[in-house]
Amino acid sequence: MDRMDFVQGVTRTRVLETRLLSRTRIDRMIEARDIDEVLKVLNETEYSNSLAGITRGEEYEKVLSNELNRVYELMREITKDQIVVDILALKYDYHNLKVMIKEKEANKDLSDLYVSLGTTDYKDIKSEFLHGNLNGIKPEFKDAIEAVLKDLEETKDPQRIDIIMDRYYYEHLYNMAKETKIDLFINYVKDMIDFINIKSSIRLKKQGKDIRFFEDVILPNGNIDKETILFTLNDNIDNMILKFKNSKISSGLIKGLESYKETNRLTDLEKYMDDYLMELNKPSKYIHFGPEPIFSYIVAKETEIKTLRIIMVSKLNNLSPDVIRERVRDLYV
Amino acid sequence: MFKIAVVGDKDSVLAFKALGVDVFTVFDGDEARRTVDTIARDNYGIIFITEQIASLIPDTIDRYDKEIIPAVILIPSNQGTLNIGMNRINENVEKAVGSNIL
Repeated sequence: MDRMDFVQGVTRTRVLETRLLSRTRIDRMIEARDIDEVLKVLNETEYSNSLAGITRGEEYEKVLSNELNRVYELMREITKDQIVVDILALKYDYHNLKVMIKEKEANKDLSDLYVSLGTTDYKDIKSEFLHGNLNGIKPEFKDAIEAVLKDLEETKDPQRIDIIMDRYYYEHLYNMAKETKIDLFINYVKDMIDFINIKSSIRLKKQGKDIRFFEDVILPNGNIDKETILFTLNDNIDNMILKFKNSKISSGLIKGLESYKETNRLTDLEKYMDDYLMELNKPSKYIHFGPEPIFSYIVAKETEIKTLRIIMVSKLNNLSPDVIRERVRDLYV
Repeated sequence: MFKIAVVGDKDSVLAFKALGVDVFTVFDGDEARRTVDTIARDNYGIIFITEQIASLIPDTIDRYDKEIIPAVILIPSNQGTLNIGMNRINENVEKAVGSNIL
């Protein structure tokens, strides 16, 4: 990847960065009386185009997906090398694959669940899949589909669709990041895998699953090796904190585990994971030649949209501003 | 075989989907009235409806009181209860046994 290819893209991204929502705007939305007032604040920002034609607060999902579509389209236009966007878009491909297989298994129409943001058009994959012609599909997707179908035949357990798909997804994602040879991308993926593995450990402990199941769920390619993660299945949270004190992701992880210990809510760990990954992206602000700012801008935008979703859902359910503030993510700016 | 439906705002009723109940999300009274009338005709034996939505369409709810099928049952939403559902049960008990034994 030639870093000079991104000079113009970075310049354009710099301008877009200034339009990201500021802390004060977010605060105003958190303090807003109801969701309509949130939309009013949003109308003063770059979201105004995505808001066109939306009259009811309950339609907030449409606003957010309009905006996400707009961002992805724009970034694909700006970047010289599509792989920068593809790394972040890949999750939508695998989401679509899951929907596609479940649609076929349950014999139900789930067409409103597809997301059109992936690296490949899901309609093409779906039509090939329904014609039984897997050879026309990208080899990574093909392998994943075949593995899922084979497992489904043996176990008949729909939960395993997600488990196997996720494993193939993170494998694919890691290979993509490695291919770019950009440190930020590799670290982003590796650190995320660590967080997810630890989250799985906590979740499975709660469900009382055995180590065999855990071995299936655990993802390779993280910084923390598989054995260490496997051994945490019997640890309590204090032991886990002690064990991961010196790991690479400890700055976010320890905070997350401590607040999980207090509240018993896994969403707390998720919040600190997002904050940590955001922190990882912040140095991109000082890079002028290279793909990092474009990647980080998309991450910033996705986090912003997640924040808005939290605020809007909370407003619809009359949660107090303090409760919302606890859940809101760190911003890029 | 009769089916079971639940009507209400998305956040209150979506979880019912996991139980195999058919979920219908509605936003306002008009939509609620139309949804309830449609599903009542559509072979549903029990319709659960959140109190918040039910309070917007009292006439429709009353109408189904006189029908045997479907049974329209009021449930609290995630915002807490308005006590309409419980009051209705009390009324029905009073009607049936002559005094409020609950």
